[in-house]
Amino acid sequence: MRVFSLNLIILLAAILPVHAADVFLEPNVFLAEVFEGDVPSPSFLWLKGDVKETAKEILGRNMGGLRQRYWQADGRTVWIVEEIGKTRPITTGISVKDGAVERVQILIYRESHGWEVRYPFFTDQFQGMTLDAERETSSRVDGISGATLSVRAIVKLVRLSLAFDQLARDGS
Amino acid sequence: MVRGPTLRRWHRRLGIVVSIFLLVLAVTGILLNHEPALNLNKVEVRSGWLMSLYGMEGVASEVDGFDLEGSWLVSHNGSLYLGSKAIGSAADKLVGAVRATEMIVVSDERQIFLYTFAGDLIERYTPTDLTPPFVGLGMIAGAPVLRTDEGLFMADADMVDWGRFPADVKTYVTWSKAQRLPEAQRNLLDHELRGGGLPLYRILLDVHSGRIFSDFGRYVMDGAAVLLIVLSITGLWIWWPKR
Repeated sequence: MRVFSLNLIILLAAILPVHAADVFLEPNVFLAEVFEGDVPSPSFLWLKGDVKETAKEILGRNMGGLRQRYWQADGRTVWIVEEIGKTRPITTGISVKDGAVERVQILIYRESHGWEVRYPFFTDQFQGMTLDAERETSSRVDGISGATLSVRAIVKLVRLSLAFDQLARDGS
Repeated sequence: MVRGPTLRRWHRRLGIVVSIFLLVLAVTGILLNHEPALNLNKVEVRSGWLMSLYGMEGVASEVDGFDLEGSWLVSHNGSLYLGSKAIGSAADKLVGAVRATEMIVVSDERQIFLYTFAGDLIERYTPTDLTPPFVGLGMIAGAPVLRTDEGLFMADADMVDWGRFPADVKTYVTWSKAQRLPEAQRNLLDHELRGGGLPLYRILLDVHSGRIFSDFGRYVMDGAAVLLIVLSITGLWIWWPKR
């Protein structure tokens, strides 16, 4: 009976859609963790000229807004960015240190499928990645079957953050 | 073989049923045949139920929005509209919208949206100095005030940081509240969402083929066509001289 109940729970967990908005980590907690409690005031990257073109090239669409806020200290920039997986935005925190990915954290997930991208087995593979000349990630990213669109969205956000980091450090 | 009174009786019954469809086919057929002269492609129909059949949904008869001193901000099916202009999307439930000194500030339960007065997005962000959910957005002396479970917070002029605001002044804050959208505004938004209307040619074509009621309508027209074939055969059979 106990085995049956456990199986039922596992089955339900597998087939039931995830709640409309799952907060895996509050953005302010993510920032506090990355900066070890000493969060700097936000800076802004203005979305115009090269910055806007770069964002469009990576996202495949015009990025809305006139400015993107980020946090910068100790050779590190941190970006809280969003991209739609299938229908709803995935809020992701990305920390870049000395031009390489330091940490990727899924903060808020709103899609019904593909939430496996939240797990470290997926997000940890970005650590140390940089951007190559074609603005692609320096290493191949292993996907997750059944979460293709979410994986694609997160890869875009990592590329975007790395590109923005370069532009921010270049003083755009 | 069935012949005589029984066949005639069934022939008459089928004739009555088929005549309705035949009438529809004939009238729509003639009109479609003369489409260029009648200019049916230029005639637009804006009937609510008809547009709903085509998935062109507008807004409900009663919809709420936020009054921004002259223009209205509405959240409809996850999209945000300023007047009738689509200006973005909100992932969570809207808390409020206010017209600050230099921009429009909108808040859902987790995020802040900043817009120019023309409805261009300045920034959409999660205020990391506040703990969601946000439960109220208001104004005091031209500055936006956000209410969370932890108290009141006021933004600086550039909307960069939110600082704690004394709770005892909350009676002076004018809180943004959703109100029923005025009829004229609702109609404007409805018109925008539904576009210019449906060409009459398209409607007649879909009535003619039955597609106006999707697959069900198509099969009904197929059934009517089969009945017409049966009717033709039984008619010929009855008419054919008996030996």
